[in-house]
Amino acid sequence: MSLLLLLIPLIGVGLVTVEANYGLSLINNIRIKSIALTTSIVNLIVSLVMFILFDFSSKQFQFIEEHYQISYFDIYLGVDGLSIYFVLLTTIIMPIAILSNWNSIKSQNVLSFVVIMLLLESLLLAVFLVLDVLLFYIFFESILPPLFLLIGLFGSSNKVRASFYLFLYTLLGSLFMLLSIIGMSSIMGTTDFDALSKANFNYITQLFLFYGIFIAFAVKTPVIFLNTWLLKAHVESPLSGSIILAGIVLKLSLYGIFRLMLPLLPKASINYTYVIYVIGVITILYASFSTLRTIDIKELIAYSSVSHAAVYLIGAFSNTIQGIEGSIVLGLAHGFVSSGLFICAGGILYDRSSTRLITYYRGMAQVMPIFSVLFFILALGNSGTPLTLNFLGEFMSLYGVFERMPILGVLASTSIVFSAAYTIFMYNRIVFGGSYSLYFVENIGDVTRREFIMLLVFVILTVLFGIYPAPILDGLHYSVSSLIYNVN
Amino acid sequence: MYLTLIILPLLGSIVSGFFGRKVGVSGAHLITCTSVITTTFLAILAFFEVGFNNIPVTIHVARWIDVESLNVLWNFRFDSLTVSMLLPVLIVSSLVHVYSISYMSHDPHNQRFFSYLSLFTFMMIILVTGNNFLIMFVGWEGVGVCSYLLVNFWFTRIAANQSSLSAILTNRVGDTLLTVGMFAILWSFGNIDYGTVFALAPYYNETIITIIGICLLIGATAKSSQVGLHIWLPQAMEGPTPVSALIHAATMVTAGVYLLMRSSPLIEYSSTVLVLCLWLGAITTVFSSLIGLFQQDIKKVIAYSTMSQLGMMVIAVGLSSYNLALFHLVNHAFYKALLFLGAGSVIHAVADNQDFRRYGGLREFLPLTYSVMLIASLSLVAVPFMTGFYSKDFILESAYGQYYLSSTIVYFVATIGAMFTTLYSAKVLYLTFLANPNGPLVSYKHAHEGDLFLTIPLIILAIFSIFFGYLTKDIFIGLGTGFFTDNSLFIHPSHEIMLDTEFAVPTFFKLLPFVFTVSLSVISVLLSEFLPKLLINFKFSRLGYNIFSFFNQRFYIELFYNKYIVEGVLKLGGQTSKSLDKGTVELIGPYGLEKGLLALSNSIGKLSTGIVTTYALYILIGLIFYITLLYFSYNDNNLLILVIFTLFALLNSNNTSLKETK
Repeated sequence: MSLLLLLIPLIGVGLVTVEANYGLSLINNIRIKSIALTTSIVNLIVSLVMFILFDFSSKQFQFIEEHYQISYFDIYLGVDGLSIYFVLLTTIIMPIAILSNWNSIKSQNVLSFVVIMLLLESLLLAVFLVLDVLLFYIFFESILPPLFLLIGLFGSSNKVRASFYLFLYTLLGSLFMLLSIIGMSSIMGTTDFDALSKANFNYITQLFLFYGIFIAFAVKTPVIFLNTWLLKAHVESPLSGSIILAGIVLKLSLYGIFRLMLPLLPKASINYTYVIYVIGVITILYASFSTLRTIDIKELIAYSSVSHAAVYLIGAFSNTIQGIEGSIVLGLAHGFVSSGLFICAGGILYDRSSTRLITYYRGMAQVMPIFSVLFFILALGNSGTPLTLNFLGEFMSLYGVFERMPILGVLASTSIVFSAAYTIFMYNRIVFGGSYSLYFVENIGDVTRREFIMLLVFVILTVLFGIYPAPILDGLHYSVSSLIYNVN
Repeated sequence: MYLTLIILPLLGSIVSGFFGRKVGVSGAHLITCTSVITTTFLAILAFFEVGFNNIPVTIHVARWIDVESLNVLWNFRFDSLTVSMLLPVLIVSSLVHVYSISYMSHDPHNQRFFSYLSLFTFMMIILVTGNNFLIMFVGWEGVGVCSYLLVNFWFTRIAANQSSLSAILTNRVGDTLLTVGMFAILWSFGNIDYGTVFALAPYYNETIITIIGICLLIGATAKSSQVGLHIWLPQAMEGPTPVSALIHAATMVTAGVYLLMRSSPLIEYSSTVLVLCLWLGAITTVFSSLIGLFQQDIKKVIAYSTMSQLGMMVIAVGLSSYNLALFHLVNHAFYKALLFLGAGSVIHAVADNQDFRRYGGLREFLPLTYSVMLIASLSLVAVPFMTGFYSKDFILESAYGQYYLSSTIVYFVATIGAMFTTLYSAKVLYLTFLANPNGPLVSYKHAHEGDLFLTIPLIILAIFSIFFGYLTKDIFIGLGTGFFTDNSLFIHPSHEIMLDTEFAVPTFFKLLPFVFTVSLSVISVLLSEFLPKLLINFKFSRLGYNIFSFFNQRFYIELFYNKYIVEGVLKLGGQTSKSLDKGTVELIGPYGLEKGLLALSNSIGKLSTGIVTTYALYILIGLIFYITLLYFSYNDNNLLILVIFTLFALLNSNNTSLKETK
């Protein structure tokens, strides 16, 4: 079944190509998009079936597929209690990402857009599904070219620079991770994840491997001074690119921490937690301060992503079950909420007014009431108000941090004030803040049905799991408790 | 019944908010008012069932966060504290609902308004009924968000935007500390369930309880608008007047005091926290009534008076007399809501003017409003046998009755605060109703009493403001009361001061506040009626001018916050985002890399000059390098790196010098 997840988008690519070459040119754009959407929804259903069939009372990998005869690499797929949620996050976000650019792609580009999206889905799922460290690296890197193309082809004015930054930063970081993985492979003679996790590296080796992997994940998370690529990429990329970046790509590092760092390098992770905490806390403060002065809506959301990402980064290293589960919950919640906010800002507002600057917006509640309500709930989510999933994630992560290092936990908790400050300020300025902006000559309409559905999905997921998170938390217990490391 | 009580306002809010177009204006009125009034009757029933019969109710609904030892459930709890909190919250809320039907009748967004009101009521119910700190926190944040929406109801006004932002952000500061407090509770007690925490509190180290208590106290400071985090409350008067009556008199601002009362089994074990409460309350009460005396906006004066009464409640908490704080909270809710609604009636009558220097002589036009405002003011200044008297006077006496140095000082400070309260109450009443008419003629032509919806809540609240204290005194603070036997309020036996207060305080000190009240109100009315020149002359003197502007500008605290804290943060934000992120980092990072590599490749390209002697030099350097390579690497690797680095540096300098010569 896990192989099926990877193959369905590829089959979709095939179908789309056939359709593009042999169908009628007038109607086939719509058909191409429908095929892509259907494919991704089928994939969502498959992953949901997988979730239902999943046995949560087991710590083993499930739905395992091993294919040794295919290539030199062992194609070895499976899911456990951690990755199933990331798989679900991907399959939920992808159809919405395809929907988000439904009308804004020029007709001659539709085929390439759709192919890139389906390819991205396949590759992203592969990252979460493979159980081989080297393959993990390969797929981790392989999402760069499609993203590069996505930003380069459909981005806005400064797209070349953005895609250049994306490539430069992530490749630079990943180089060190490759070194670490090669190191592991040469020491242990295998890259199989299961076998590696049984091994015990000596302490000094662990440190070196830790540095290498952490640099890669620090770029991907991102942390302070390494966040330039994120801002550029988010701001310049098309809406679907922003959604995928914020919703899934930023979670790769979180997933990687649980796959590579905590189980394989426990001693180094425990001893160097304080370094990560200091970096994380500084990132939270730095990003929050910067967010307060940002006037580009997409950049503001991207900056707030940096701050939230730092929260789940430090939560993941807390070595407490609450902290780790909180970081996963916050990761998922952030995936929903920031994607939703990007749809609000970069999609709905930008499509209607062609500007991303807060300065030009005012009094949107007068003309877009439904939009204002949905946007408000998402904004509350972003600022971590109770009854949203973000609150639970933030609360649990910060509690984990507090339990590990109280002072840094208190400092990290300042993100509660700041996140409210920048999010509510942005919301207030766009939606309220006076009567309908004079800059708009014409009236603009409220959300269409397509936009409404996209936002509603995110709002419902955020609020529903915020009130009753048991479906997420219950599945995590077994896998997370094996990540805890006891020094004594 | 208990779940219905919780959920009904939410249903009303959803129907009115999301299906407002279907149900229409009167439909929204009907649905929200019916649901809230039904809830009120259920709450009164619960008050009898839980309070009088001493049968606490706990309802288990679902799991919420269930992670290892962190086990938070959707549990609701009705004990004597909860049901006594529900009483003012729901009675005031339903009266405000009814009042708003008339007050907001000309607004095009009635459904939205009523949806917000009901949602706010729901969040407040969650706050008081939650069975652990986290559910309490849901309501805590929820009322904050609803108050943002309600204050910002007329969102086209910039002032409303500013004040609602200020409200939510100031509250967030308190929320952060409250969250930290919850972390500390979780860390030390392992659970945030009220039952677990309070049962374990006696066995814990006092330091940790002090830390937790201070965090909770700061949270309460923000919510209950004590000095330091009080700036949002007066600003929030920008919202519609019914909102002020609901949020800023009866419900949200009392949440902080509720938190302190709820955690009484915890903070009883830390004398530091109690003393801090005592002093915070005392400073707040005198500070705010001083400011209130020098304000010109009728609603702001009432807001500052609310703040000063909240200070009284915190004093009561500091004296460990939680039942007294609760009693004052309930009483205060009634007469303060009445004051706000009465002020709303005045504002409604004089075309939305809020400056009471432009009122005067309204007694003839608004007889009912005048009588209810008079009743509420009398209750506020604790004239004997009105509602406010039973609690406010008793708090002052208790402060004396503790017989500690600090509480005796607090007694005098609070008495001075009460003195100023009297002064500004008399001032408001005098300038609004009794003085010569000072407003424009137009507003008097249209001045009229409101319709039935506007007046009925006033009358009901007036009845409460007169009789409630007398009727319930023995329930809440009677000597042998069995109301709190379910231990929802815990007073450490050694902190019990009721007997001392009742029997040991000299009559002089018992009567002192009352004497001040009566004499000052008489003096102030006489002064403004017969000797107005004296006051005016004082105001025109240098000293008078300075004093007046200092208090009128609210001790310059807002100025300080804006100038130093907010501006500092924003400046720092500008530095980090612009100079650092888009400047230095980019220059060192990708941009610098790009330019640097380009420059390097240029200078390497320039090496091939086409002159034979230069090539000969290169060959020579290369030869030497290779010969000495072995030696270098044998001795020290660093030397090799140094040499390579020097070569690159030379190349670069070569390049720049070439540029210069060009």
